Amino acid sequence: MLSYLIKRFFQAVFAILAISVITFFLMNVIPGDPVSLMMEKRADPETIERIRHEMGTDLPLTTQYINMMKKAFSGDLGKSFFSGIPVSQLIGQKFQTTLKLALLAYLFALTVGILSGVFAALNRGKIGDSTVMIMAMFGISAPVFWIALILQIVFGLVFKCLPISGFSTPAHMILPMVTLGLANASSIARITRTSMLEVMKQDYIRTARAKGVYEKRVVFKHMLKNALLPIITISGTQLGGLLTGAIMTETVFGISGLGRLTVESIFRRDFPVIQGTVLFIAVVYVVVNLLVDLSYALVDPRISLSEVD
Amino acid sequence: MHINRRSKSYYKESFGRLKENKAAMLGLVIIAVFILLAVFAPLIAPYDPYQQTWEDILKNPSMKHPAGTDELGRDILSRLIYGTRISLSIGFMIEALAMTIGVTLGCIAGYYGGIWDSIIMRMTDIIFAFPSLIFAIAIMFALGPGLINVFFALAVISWAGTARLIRGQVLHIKKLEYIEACRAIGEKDFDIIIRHIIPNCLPTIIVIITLGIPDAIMSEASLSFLGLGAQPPMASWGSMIYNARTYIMQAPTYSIFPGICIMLIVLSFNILGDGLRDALDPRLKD
Amino acid sequence: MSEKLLEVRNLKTYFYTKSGVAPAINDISFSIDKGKTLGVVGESGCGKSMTALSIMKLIPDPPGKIVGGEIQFEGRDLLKLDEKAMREIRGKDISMIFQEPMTSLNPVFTVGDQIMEALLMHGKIKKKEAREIAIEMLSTVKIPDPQKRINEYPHQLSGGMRQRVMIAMALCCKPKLLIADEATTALDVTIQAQILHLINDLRSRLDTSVLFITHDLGVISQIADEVIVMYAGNIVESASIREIFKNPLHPYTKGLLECVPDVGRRNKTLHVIKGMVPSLYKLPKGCPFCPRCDAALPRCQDEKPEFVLKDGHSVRCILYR
Repeated sequence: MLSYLIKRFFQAVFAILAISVITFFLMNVIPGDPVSLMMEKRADPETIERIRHEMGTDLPLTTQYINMMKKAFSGDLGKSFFSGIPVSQLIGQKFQTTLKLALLAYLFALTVGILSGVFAALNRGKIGDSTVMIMAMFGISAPVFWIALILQIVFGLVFKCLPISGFSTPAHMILPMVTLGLANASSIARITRTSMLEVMKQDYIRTARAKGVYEKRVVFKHMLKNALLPIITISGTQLGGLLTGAIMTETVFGISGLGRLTVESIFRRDFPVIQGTVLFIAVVYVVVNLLVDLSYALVDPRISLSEVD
Repeated sequence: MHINRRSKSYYKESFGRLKENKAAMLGLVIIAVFILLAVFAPLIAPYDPYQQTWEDILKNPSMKHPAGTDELGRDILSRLIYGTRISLSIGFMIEALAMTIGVTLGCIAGYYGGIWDSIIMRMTDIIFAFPSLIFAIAIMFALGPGLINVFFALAVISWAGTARLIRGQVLHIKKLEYIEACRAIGEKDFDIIIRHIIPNCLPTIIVIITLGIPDAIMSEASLSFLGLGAQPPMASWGSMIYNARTYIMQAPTYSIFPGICIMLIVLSFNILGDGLRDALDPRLKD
Repeated sequence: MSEKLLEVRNLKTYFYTKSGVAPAINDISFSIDKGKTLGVVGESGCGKSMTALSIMKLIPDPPGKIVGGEIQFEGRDLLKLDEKAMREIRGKDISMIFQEPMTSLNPVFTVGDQIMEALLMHGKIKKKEAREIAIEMLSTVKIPDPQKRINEYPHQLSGGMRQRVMIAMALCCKPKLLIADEATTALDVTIQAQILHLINDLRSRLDTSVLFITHDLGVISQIADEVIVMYAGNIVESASIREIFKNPLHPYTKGLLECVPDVGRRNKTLHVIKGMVPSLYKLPKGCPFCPRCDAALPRCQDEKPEFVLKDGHSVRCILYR
């Protein structure tokens, strides 16, 4: 297990470094010197040179990169070109919001997805099964931003019962949570159904019934615990998609989170923010994936991590 | 036991299984309808998609304009039909490029192994270490907005999944005895790959393509929705929704219709892809 | 005169599928006395496992259904009981162990949890008490070091040990009837002997009756008091263990006994009953064994024989009318 973790750690570090290099390269290769963009037409060449020197953009690229990474390690990600606020502070604030949204959405997806999947499996071949599966297919195929708009129209315009922008009160959180979680819920439902059907055929379920265990316990304890492994495996790989979906959700619902920050900073060419958020997202993404891998061993006592890859 | 995936009977049988899957057939029909719409757009669309009017701005669906009109008085239905061209062609093209790169690199990595394998796998690691759409947005940022840039950005990212899958298949096929035999006869590597290995990968490739296209369409729609994709006056479904957002209060149906199109085409490809996967390898079914 | 614990009368269990209706159990009647072992012998598909599942009312529905008969157990007809009442009986009054110990235990729960579950389901006892009883049961089934083993998972145990755990689980509530469905078939011969010995031992200690299902006559000879022979959903012969071996009446029973290879004698070709077990969907008219029977009479093709009873030995064959 230890050697596996070490190997993964190095893979992760390599990937993060590579991503930071690529982002840095992308930003510096495009036309549009950030300084002159910022200054527009106001300043004379001397002032531009001075600011460049202050910002360090007159140094060779590799030095700039190394400086940036050194600072990043100590938590200094620079200041936003746009607002002057330290990038780390911006990320810290916005990430909290996005994290809340993502967790809510994931919980929603797990709950609705697993329950629907179990329901579909228990009613295999009957109308309950088809209904759930069709709805799941729609859920996977509908674009996140479109679901957001539809929910806004239905609950904000037609029924006027839920708030459609902002993220302050629990009521505000409902529509974004459903929007972000719907696609995942659908795919979790499908996986749960397949996994449950596999488990339902197993001999040990027959043994449990022969022991006199009542049916609800057979389903939720004996079947579900065994069915969980593939569900967790695949839903874990979807966590990254949550971040992507968060961008859309935050944009439509006007939520001030990390997703929207990333997109806005790209539009505004706010280099430090872009570099900082990309680095941050890469680290989070990699850590989450690693945690998901570790969780396999917890659920299935038969697996030792060396088998997982 | 290895199924000979180059025999005609295997494909005939698989197609037979596919035909029985009514949902997959429905998906296929819907895709065909969309393709027809794209090809014959000028004949089917009731109006010129670029024709602006002054009187009919942001009208709700009516007999005259079944899908309503947009903020410049253009008929939405016609724009949707022409939008089919954009969404479908971009989806196909991205997948074609991603598939070409992916299969090539996957074969090289799997067949030759060694340093090539390491390099290619490290590249896929990097691509997988980051959420793909954000990666695409970052690339778009460097390239600038526009449909062609969307195409490049998405293709640059999409090959990675294919490469990994193909590499896995190649590793498996490489070990089969008849490949050894081919080498013993003195067949060149290139020939072996083209004539033996890739045909055996064909079922996987078919499924990857069928499920990759909706992914590409969805990604393009997402990028267009953010304003990075099709620029006016071109209308991809995603960019129509981008425009529609501003007018959501006055004309809610404006945002609904393009989304339905996206959903339908993605759904159809997904169902077809699922069906193909089941038909080509029935052992995997529940 | 021994007391009857379980009495099955005219049991019929049919399976309804796309291929038609299969009478897996086609009107069988038998009984088990208290403290005795009844052996059920027959080839695959003859209905022996279905009999066990019918008694436990665990027939998968769809496609199977118990369509007729009665099963009298302790003064009640099991077929008339609702699911709630059956659940109380399963695991407590009637227990069952299965063929594949590998797959019959839940891989994600410890051995101890699974035994304790049987106890907790059927009695108002505390978890601590249940744990003590579970450890005791493990040592009763002769698993070494039960304190340690109780926290282990099934995949950490060998096949023989897993079967012992199954037995412990089945007997921990001291059932009146233990049903063993091919319980030793998947085990090595030496382990088989140990398990049979264990079952016999526990049976006399706990005064449990046993319904032992197997296709192996050798095993039957070691464990059964009474035997019934099944073929194609019917009982074709029923007698005490001595009678069956000394004086087999039905041609099928005789054939089965002939098939057991004689280790001592060489230069003897292996006996084979010609033909194959008929598909349950297309049972022949008349006696189901007729196509394979060496002693068949022309009448056998048309007439389905009734039971003939003589001194506690009954047989379903026209030859004995």
